[in-house]
Amino acid sequence: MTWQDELRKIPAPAPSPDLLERILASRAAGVRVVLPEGRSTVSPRTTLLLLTAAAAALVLVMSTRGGDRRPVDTENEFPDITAGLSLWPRDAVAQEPGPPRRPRYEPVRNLHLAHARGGTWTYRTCTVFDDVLTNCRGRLTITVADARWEGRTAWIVSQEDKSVRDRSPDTLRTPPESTYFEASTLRPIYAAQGGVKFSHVQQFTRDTVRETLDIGGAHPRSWRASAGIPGAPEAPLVLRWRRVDLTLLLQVLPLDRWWSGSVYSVGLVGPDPSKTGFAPVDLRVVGSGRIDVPAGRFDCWKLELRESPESMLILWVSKDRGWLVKTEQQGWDWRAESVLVSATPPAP
Amino acid sequence: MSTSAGNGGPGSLIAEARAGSPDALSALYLEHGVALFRLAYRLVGAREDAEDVVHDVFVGLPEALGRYEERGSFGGWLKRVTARVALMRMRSGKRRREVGLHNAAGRAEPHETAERDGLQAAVDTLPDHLRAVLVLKEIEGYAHAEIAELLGISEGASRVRLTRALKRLRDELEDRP
Repeated sequence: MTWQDELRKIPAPAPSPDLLERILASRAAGVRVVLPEGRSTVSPRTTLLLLTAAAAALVLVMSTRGGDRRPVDTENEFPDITAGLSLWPRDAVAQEPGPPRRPRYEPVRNLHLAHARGGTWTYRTCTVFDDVLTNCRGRLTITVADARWEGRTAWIVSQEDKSVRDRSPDTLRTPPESTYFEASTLRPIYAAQGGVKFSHVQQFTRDTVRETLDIGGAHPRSWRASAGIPGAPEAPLVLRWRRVDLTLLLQVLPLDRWWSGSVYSVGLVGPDPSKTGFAPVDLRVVGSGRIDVPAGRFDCWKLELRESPESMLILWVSKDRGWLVKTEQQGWDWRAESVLVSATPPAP
Repeated sequence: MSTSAGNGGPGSLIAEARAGSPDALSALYLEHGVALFRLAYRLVGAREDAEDVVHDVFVGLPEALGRYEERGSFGGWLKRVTARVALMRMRSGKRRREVGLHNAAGRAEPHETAERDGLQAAVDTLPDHLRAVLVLKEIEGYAHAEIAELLGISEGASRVRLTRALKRLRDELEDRP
């Protein structure tokens, strides 16, 4: 009996009976995946030459792109926001070729809205590049508090993201932002982010989001856009590029070992909502465990969060209160981890 | 239904799948899906990750077939594509393996628990870069040159990794009661 014989006898499971059905459903929905070559036909030398050529082309593009910017049409209510930004090819911000990605799971439902609580959570973020260089300067503080918005019960969620340095004052990494959420649905009502140089405001109705983006400085610009919101009118929404609303949503999800659900995220609406405005966020419990963070020891559900086919975030969520205790994200040569440092009210 | 002898003659199934026929794609899945799933499973180490790999392979297959030159074994080509997708997934850190190799989705099957022997457990302890070589060489039967191409390493590195993987397996098995 050889190693090969022994190893080949190791049992492997069979795929789920519905896998073929899922494949066909994805194809029918317009999902497309670009597969790698079955065999590489490019030699390392050719690869090097191609990379050199690509780098030269990139330098050329960067040096000429500024003169190619499309002037902003102030008469147009929906000018192309991305046209004014170098190195932001319009098609590159698409989720994937073809129609917008569909939610992977059923919409989240059976929310335990009474479980939502206010508080303040502070996270420390560390980033490791190439397993060597570590940067642990990030301090993210999220605050959730009771509020009223035009007579309705609401939550106001705000975020402060700082870079902490030993010998110099803390600096804000992103402008402060705050969002009002309707308490009965956890749908955003009003979201604002801004500083000296720009202001981004989104106002939501049941089915529409209206957006204002103002950029100051030497060449001030403004954009206005609106778009219909996909999904059910009572379903919760999260805001893309901001994790603050997860703090609220995770407290009310009916998590268990087999739970999964999807919500829509709202990004920059811009001129082409099918590409940039909305994307499903797919959440699924993939395990559980007891983890230690500076704020204490927590029994957690482990969730995976997918916002696009290329990105995945791991969330550790406390079982008792739905607190976001830890997040993990990994790329080709980096990984980032945020851990809960302190919470008010404190952990039990 | 055979890949190379479809209804309309050799290669017709591939041609139909290339044209986007769901029936042809289903037939290809029924013929190759289980083998590809097992390859992916042995590489990525978790059932749901392996299903994601096979899902992506078949979703992208009609377009990828445009690059298939119908030289050599279609099954071999498909396995290489699947191995590449699985390896990309391993490198990207998207896997769920950290939850527990066999219980990542919590749906352990009887053979994954009751009959899982020491060798399986020892293979599970190998780091990704050693396990990939072990699976591709010892289970899938690839040559070191092919493994080197798939992993982007030299043939020598592939041999070294296999030697290290086998040594660690022996050490691991000897340490077990």
